Amino acid sequence: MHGRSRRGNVVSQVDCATPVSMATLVDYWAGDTSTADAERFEEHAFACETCSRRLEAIATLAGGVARVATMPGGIGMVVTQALIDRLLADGLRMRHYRVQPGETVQCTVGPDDDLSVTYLSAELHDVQRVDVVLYAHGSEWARMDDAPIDRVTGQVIYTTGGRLARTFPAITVRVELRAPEKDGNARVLGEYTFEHTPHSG
Amino acid sequence: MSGSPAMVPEELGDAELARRIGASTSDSEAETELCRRFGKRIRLYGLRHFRSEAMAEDLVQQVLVLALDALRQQRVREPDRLASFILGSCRMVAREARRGEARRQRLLEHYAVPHELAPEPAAQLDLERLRGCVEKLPPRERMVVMLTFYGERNGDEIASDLSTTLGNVRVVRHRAVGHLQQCMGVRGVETS
Repeated sequence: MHGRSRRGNVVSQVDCATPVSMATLVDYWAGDTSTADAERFEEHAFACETCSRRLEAIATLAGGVARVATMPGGIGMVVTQALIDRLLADGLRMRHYRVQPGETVQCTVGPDDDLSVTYLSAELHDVQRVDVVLYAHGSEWARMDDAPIDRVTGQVIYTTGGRLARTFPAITVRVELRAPEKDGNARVLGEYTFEHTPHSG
Repeated sequence: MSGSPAMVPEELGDAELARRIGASTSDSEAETELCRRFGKRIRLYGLRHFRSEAMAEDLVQQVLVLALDALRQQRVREPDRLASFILGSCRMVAREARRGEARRQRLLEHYAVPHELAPEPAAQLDLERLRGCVEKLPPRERMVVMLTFYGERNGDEIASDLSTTLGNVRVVRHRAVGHLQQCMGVRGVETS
């Protein structure tokens, strides 16, 4: 399984002739392997410097992602309510905007806000996929294709990082929630309007 | 003992390293190499099973102490399987830790593993760059990596949250990690 050092001595830490797949590394680190598979992998990784280094790279990246989630200034993403609850518990400051189809909401962002959280309600029970499309000044401004639906709340929830939101001028943003159809067209599930006012402080 | 006193410990195989530690109570080079070689692996094991930096660091200390003690006392029956012995020690100590047994203090009172022998913390990432890479991920990939690595939800839970399958979650997560590595310029991990 392992290679030889430059002096020709057998060492157990050089190269690996049977490296585990990256998918296995990721599943192992995520806790999504059976106990038997995890133990088999651990036997290999403990004897193999190559694969333990590869695992360390995954672990470092995973740890970095966790830290990015709570960085000051926030990050924009589609989320679940469970994730919002976790971010709140970790001390992120946020504003929440809950909207029904057809509604207009006045919104802003404060100097210390990490996140602005938007909850889009719509009839989503039989919908498999939704796209979120944002329009400003009459044209498409941003979009999130294949946005996951939080099945617990039945809503599409997304965040905007406070750092980014503080750069927005006074602007009206129209948001469409769309369900793509097989013929290439899209069914509009809801339209929402956000009238953003920059923070005066 | 097979004659390798001139050999740099980094180049020794596990079995020879074990024999050198067992042959002398003062082969600090060999002991340092043992700690260097296995410290990170023990730490990763601890992080994976405890999801706690502090508990992982404790595990490193305890397992290295146990291993050094066993090697010095020549109680490792199969030096060729040193890695397996250390993994077995990890599992045993982890089980005990879960049961809340207070063995750590007793061991540490007898054996103080020098701090510099412990593995260095994971390399620091450029978090601003990583933030940018995360923001470039498609929404579903971004959400799945966040739920996995920040939310600490397993694949079944994420599949339930999103009304999808575990297989789909795994595919999306694997793809997302690949995209992040590519964006961060991480190399040498991918092996399909």
